Amino acid sequence: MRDEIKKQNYSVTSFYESAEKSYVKEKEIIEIEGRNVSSFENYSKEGAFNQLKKIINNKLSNAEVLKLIYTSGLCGCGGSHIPLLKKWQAAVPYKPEYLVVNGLEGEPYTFKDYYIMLHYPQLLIEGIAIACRLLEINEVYLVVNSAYKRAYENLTKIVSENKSFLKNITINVLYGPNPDLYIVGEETALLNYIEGKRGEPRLKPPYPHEKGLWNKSTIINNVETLSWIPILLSAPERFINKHPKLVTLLGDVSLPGIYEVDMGDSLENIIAKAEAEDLSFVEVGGISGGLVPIKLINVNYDVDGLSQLGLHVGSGTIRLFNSTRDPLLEMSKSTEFFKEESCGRCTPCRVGTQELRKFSQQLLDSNETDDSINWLHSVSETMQQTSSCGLGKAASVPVITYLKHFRNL
Amino acid sequence: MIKISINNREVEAKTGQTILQVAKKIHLSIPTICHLPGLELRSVCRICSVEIEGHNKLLPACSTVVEKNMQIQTHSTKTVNARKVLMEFIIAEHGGLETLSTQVREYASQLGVNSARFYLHDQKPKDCNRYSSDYIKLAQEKCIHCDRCIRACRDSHVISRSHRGSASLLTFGEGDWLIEDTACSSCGDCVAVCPTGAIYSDY
Repeated sequence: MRDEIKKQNYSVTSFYESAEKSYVKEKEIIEIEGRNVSSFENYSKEGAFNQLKKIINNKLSNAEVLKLIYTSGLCGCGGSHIPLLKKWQAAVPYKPEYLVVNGLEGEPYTFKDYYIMLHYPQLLIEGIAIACRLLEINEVYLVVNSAYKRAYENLTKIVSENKSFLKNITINVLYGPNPDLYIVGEETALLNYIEGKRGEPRLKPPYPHEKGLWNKSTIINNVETLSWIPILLSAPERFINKHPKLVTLLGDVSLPGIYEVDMGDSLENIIAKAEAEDLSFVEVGGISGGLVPIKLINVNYDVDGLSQLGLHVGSGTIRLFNSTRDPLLEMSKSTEFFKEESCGRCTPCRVGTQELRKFSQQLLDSNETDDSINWLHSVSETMQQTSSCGLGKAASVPVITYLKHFRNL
Repeated sequence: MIKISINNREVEAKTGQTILQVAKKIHLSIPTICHLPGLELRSVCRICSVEIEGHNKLLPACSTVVEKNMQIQTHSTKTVNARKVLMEFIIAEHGGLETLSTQVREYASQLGVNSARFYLHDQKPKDCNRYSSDYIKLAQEKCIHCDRCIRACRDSHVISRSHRGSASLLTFGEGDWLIEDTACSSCGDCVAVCPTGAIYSDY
């Protein structure tokens, strides 16, 4: 059966040349639809920049806004899930000078930031302006994936049309590098990229809020995180005991798209929205996420629930696969991806990703041994413990979850 | 002065000192490869990783600055296991133990690692050494990307890394230049700091 699948679909080594990869590369051709995104629809009905106007006219004080952000528990949506206010509070003593907004979204199969930037650019710009007023920042770098041409045009248009609201805030909208460069989405690598250096992660500490862009204190936020701020201010009730989040549901489903879900919902219910048939397994958290068989998804979609299965929320991508797909092939594609996308800076990640790829080939050729499985576990442990950035720490998740859930190893 | 604990022993340290500096003072050996006093801190080889209470990941001793009441374990099972794997990675990339610098070989024997179960040195492209000049010669198949040469070079535009992941290579000038076409003055600093012989000189 496995041989047949190999012939029919895609070979792992030519992942880059395969149809799957071009699917990722030219993200723009995919018209990803927003489904059940009521918060965003309500926002555009109310009209853009209302909340910012309120703040400018002193109808809403900074303290009130901060209190709302605090009580809502709004978290970073780029994968870290650190409360937004905590991140800001850490930076305030250093008097941040720059705000960098990460719209690179290099994670394959993830389109939530694209969706926001394409359809609700005003929302993002309003969120940025509010953040700048709260943090007293005047210069913003908004870096957009270079495959997102229409989103880029929309954003530059909104920025130039609304200069009156933005006043002394300068928003520089930049294209990111080649859309294939996954690692530049790491926050310190993005700083290097903006400075014109090689897009490699920096040594942390110093953290960006201590020494960031051009050695000045810098705050880095994801597109989605800032976009939730205007929605929070106009509809605080949406956040009472709830943490809304956008997820990308893709794969063998009849209704692929961007869904607004609540963190803590059952994963089963979230998946059911996409109306998939004959599901066999899912990948939660993007390409660095873990693979689990469909019978185990009886958990809550939040950090604690997912960690029971060795998964993480990550960029909020859930890919669904039917029974014609092979989890081993999907896992191998992830290892090939990380082998190519590691920046090559630190040893555990650069060599470890090559080892993971080699091990996945052993599994494909069915010549794995007890020794090689033990070695793989030490490699993965070392990568998680010692890699300098998130890529190396997460690269072994697909392999480990595959072994755990599909092989009981 | 602040008080910290290393391997359950109370030690006094100055503010701003790194764990490695404090450990050295109490004659505790932590293996290091990419670290060289005087060069910018990069912590890329990660072999000096130590366990610190309150952190769920290991942190590099060469760049982590001590904090008040820090509880550090430099030779716990977790750290030693990680170092063994990393040492094997280094041997695999270099293509053997024999030609590594004496110091690295010593650390390897302390860890009890003398070979790797896989080798990667033969995967470099064949023409990767074509940048060599008369004085500075390359053997990139031996390179372990410790970045010492990149940091030791007096001109920041001479040596850098190109490509990514498994394809990482040293490159020169604005990319793909021959060494003699760059600002290289053949001072030999890069040769002096290289622990592998990937950059060498016949002179």
